[in-house]
Amino acid sequence: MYAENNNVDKVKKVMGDVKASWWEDGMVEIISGIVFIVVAGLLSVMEFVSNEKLQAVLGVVCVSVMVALAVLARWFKRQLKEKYVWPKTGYSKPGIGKKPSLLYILSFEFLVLYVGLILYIFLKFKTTNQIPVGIASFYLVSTKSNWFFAGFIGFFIFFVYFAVYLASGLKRFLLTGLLALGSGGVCAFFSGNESMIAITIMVTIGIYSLFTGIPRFLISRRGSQDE
Amino acid sequence: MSKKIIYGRIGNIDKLIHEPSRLLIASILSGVKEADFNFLLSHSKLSKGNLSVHLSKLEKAGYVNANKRFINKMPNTVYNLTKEGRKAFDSYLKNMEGIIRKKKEK
Repeated sequence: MYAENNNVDKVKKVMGDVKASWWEDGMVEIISGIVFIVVAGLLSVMEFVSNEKLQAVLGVVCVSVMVALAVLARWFKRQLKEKYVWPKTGYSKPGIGKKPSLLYILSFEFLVLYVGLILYIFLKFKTTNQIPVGIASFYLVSTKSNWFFAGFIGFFIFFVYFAVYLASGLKRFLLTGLLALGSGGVCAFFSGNESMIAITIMVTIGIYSLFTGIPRFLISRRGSQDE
Repeated sequence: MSKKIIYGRIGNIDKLIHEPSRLLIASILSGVKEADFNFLLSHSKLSKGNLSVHLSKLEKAGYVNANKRFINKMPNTVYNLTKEGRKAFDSYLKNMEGIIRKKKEK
């Protein structure tokens, strides 16, 4: 009787559905969309700066902003969920705690910039071909390495979406990741500028996220249960 | 594994959690840190009365903790699995997995 019922599988399914419900009110998509468009805006500002050293500094600032937004996004999303989605759908706390401290954010910033700097130093002196210069360009020096840069940004976004959307299913993850890589690749084909590639990917993913998140948010606000 | 051991495991199953509605409630609460009544209602699809009764039983047994509060002057009750509740739930799952595995091996 117990083997036929297999309560364990049913329990695991319920637990999975409950965890996934955290992602179904559109908040993740809306915040992600805003983050990507803000970063695209920062990269666009960099385009108007002709001084290469200033561009490099702005590149570091851009990475720092991305890291800070990513760290704060989880906390911010929860605040928005509490304010705008509850009590229509009922509220659950998934275990995300208080607002990340400044030290926590700075630790991530340091880690990302440190890894980038090490990579740059190692690869710059190891070889002079386009690929390592392409990696370094994202952090410090502006250069032309279209295909690889597009791939790097695309892979980063792909990885972020893999982590964030794991609970939502493979379909959404593949769609978003491939959209990022595809838009970057198309831009790389037509454009010689790696910033344009990054901006194109960010804007594409940002708009897609908002387009999927806003309707979901509006549906969740209408409520899913009888009063 | 002998039938005696399988039956022994079956005998050890927590009857309070084994009841389908309460198992569902425990499953939902195990997936989150805490959840309010409306969340449990929308995910369990139980009626309000049914849910209240089962939550009371779990609370009486010390498996669930209820925290009543007001948010914007609206009453809101939030539930979470206690330490004993999580332990009992994990133990239940372990027991069930053991029984199913041994039955499959036979």
